[in-house]
Amino acid sequence: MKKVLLILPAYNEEGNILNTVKQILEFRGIEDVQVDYVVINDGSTDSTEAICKKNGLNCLTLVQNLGIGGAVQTGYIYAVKGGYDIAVQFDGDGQHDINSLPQLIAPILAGKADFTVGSRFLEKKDTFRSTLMRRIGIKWLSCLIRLVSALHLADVTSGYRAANKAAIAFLARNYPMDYPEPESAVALKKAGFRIKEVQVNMFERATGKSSINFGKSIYYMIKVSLAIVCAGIQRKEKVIHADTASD
Amino acid sequence: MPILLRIEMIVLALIIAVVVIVSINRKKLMIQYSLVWLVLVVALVVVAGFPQIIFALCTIFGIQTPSNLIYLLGLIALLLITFSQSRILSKQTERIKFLTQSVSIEKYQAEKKENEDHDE
Repeated sequence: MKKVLLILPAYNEEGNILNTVKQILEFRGIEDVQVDYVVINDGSTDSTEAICKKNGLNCLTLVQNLGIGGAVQTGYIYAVKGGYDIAVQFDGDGQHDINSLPQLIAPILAGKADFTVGSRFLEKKDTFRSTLMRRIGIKWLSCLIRLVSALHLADVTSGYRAANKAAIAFLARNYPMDYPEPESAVALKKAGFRIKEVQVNMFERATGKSSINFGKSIYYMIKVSLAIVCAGIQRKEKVIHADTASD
Repeated sequence: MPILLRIEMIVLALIIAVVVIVSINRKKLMIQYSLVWLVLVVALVVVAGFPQIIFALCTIFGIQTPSNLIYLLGLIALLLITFSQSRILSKQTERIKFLTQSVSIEKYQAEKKENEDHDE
C-alpha cells in the first residue's frame, strides 16, 4: 500500500477550497494506493480557515502568509513527517483534475521517474486557452530550462506535480519562495532526479483571480529566468539553504 | 586638503560615533552590525588627521582632486554596506519562513492531538 499525499496550497480560496476537497474525497481511488490530502492555508485573510474548520477538513494554517513557495514547502515537510511515498501538488483553486492523478503518479509507482510534471500541452488535444504572451513566455522558459539543464519541459509553470520519497526530502529542504515551479524543476534535475512530463487535464479557474496578473508578469519573467540560470549553474553538491532547513 | 573639509570630516565622524554608540546602549543596534559603521568613523578620522594618505592614493589612482576620491570611497563603502544588508535580509527571510513553518506545524499537531483527545 503506497501512501500518497495531496498538498493543497490555498490563499484566500474560500470560494473553491470546499469543492476541491470534495472532488478529492469523491475520487474513485487507485488500487493499492491510499490518498490523503492536506490543505495548507497560507495565512488567508478571508474565511478559508473558518470553512476548513467548519467542514472538518485536514487544514494546516500558516500563522502568517509565506507565499506559494513557502506554503508548498510546508506540505513537503508534512509529507516527510507523515512518511508519505508520494506527494502531489494540487491547486486549492480547483484548476487541477483529480481524475488525472493515476496518470501523474504512474511513472513514480512504476519506478520510472522520481518527479512528474502534469502538462497541459504535451498532446495537442487539450483545449486549455491561453494568451499569446503567456504562450511565448512559457516557450522562452522551456527553452531556457533545456539550455541550462537539458531538461525537456513543455508546461514549465504547471503546479500539478508529483514527487517520490527522495524528491520529497529534497524539496522539503530546498524550495524557492515565489514562482517556484520552473526553478525547482531545474534544481531537481541538477540534483540527479529523473523527471518525466505527463499529460493531464486542467480546468479554467472556477472563482477568484490567478496569482499572476499582467503587472507582475514582467517581474515574473525576469525573476524566473534568473532563477533558472542560477539553478542551472549551481553545482550538484551545493544545496541551497541547507543550513537553515531541517525536518 | 582644505582645513574646513577636514573639520567637517571629524564632525561627521563624531556624529556617527555618537549615534552608533547610543544605539548600541539602547539595544537598538547589535555590536556585530555596528562594527562596519565604527570602521567608517575610524577611516574618516584617519583621513582628516593624515590627508597625505588621500593625496598618495590620488596619485596612484590618477584622480585629480582629493575630495573626489573621498566621495568615491564613501560611495564604495555604502555599496558594500548595502550589499551586506541585502544578504542579511535574505538570510533572515529564510529564517522567518522556517520559523513560520515550524510554528504552524507545531500548532497543527497540537490542535489535532487536542481534537483526538476530545473524541476519546
